[in-house]
Amino acid sequence: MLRITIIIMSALILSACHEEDEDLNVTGMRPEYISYDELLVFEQQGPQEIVHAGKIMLYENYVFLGEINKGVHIIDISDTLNPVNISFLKIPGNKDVTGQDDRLYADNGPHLLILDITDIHHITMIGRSMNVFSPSEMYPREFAGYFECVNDAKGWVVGWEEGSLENPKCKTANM
Amino acid sequence: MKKLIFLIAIVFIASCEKNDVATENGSTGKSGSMARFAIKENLMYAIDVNFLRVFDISDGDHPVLVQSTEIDYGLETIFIFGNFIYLGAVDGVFVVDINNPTVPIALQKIEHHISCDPVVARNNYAYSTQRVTATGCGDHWLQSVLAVYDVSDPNNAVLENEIIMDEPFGLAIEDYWLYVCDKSGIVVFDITDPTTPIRKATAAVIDPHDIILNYPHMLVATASSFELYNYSDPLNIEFVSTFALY
Repeated sequence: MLRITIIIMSALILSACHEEDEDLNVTGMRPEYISYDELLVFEQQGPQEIVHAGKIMLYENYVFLGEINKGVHIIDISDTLNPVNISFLKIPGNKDVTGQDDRLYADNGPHLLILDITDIHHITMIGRSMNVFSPSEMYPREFAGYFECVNDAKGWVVGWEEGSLENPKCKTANM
Repeated sequence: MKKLIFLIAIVFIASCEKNDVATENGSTGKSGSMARFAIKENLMYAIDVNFLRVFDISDGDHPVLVQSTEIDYGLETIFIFGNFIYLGAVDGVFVVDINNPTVPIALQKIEHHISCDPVVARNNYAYSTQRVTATGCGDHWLQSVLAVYDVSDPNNAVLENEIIMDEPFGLAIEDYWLYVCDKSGIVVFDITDPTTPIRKATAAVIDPHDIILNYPHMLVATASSFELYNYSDPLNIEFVSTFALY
């Protein structure tokens, strides 16, 4: 029997802030923010096209398909031969949802949003538990290189875009 | 030299015992292995970047945050089996004891190469995928694998096996079959011997990322869509449908 292999990687993906002395112009990642007020906009909308399919969660005959940091698509699979994309829930800063007893729980930036999904076509907001999660991510995932350091004062990070950076102060430790 | 990135997905096997629990009033959602939220009875466990949070949802309209347990940075997925939670993180899997459900205790970290993705577990075994790509996290000298751990001693997981994969994502288990999302499709393993998965078939699905088994239907999130398959014959998984806008 094998003993567990312990693999110790010092080059963690977790980024390290890094001081640069010289002028440095490089391509890297820049955080995209939304304001803390924009985070609080919940809305049920008509069906939207799926851009980046994320996680799935099945609740009764409905599939909640994540559109990361934007919200969730609702797909009715009552007729498995003809699933229908019925609606989109706009939930800024959302990464996951789960449901129980006709309640849907969704992270909403640092907050937890509670929705009543009894009538799937008319989902209503019950409330929001404020600031129950950690601050936004501080580094781009699945990326190796320089990036513009996150500044929480600018808002909540909802994504990263590639661009040219001048003297970036942050880089991932795995580059 | 450009470094390649490893995305390691420790995947403890998904089982029907996980989330699909009927309650007195209604039902509970069922998630894939990539989930960050999981419900057990009236508690919801949720991870953020470095904490495991426990919410009491006995009163569903007013969840109460009853515990915040600091684990480590890089948490990505959660999976509950029995009285243990398995957390997938970028460089390992954390085994967390919830015998006292509102007071989680982190027992051990099963270290692995830097990665991303999910954790599932069943009985005494856990299955992990370790994904290597050209961008992201990790280093370049390793191969993507599916790893099998014996977790019968929650304080001391034992690596039992490693199987080479392409670029695996989420996975799920049912009966004697393990389904793994890989670059080439959904790979079906026979796990009659839980420590020795045998590759039996590959269902042609483009870029599958997350799956939920809801017999006889397999729900699949791909990179850009949602698809349904019928897996009543695991060796011959058939396409059923994809969604349509109305």
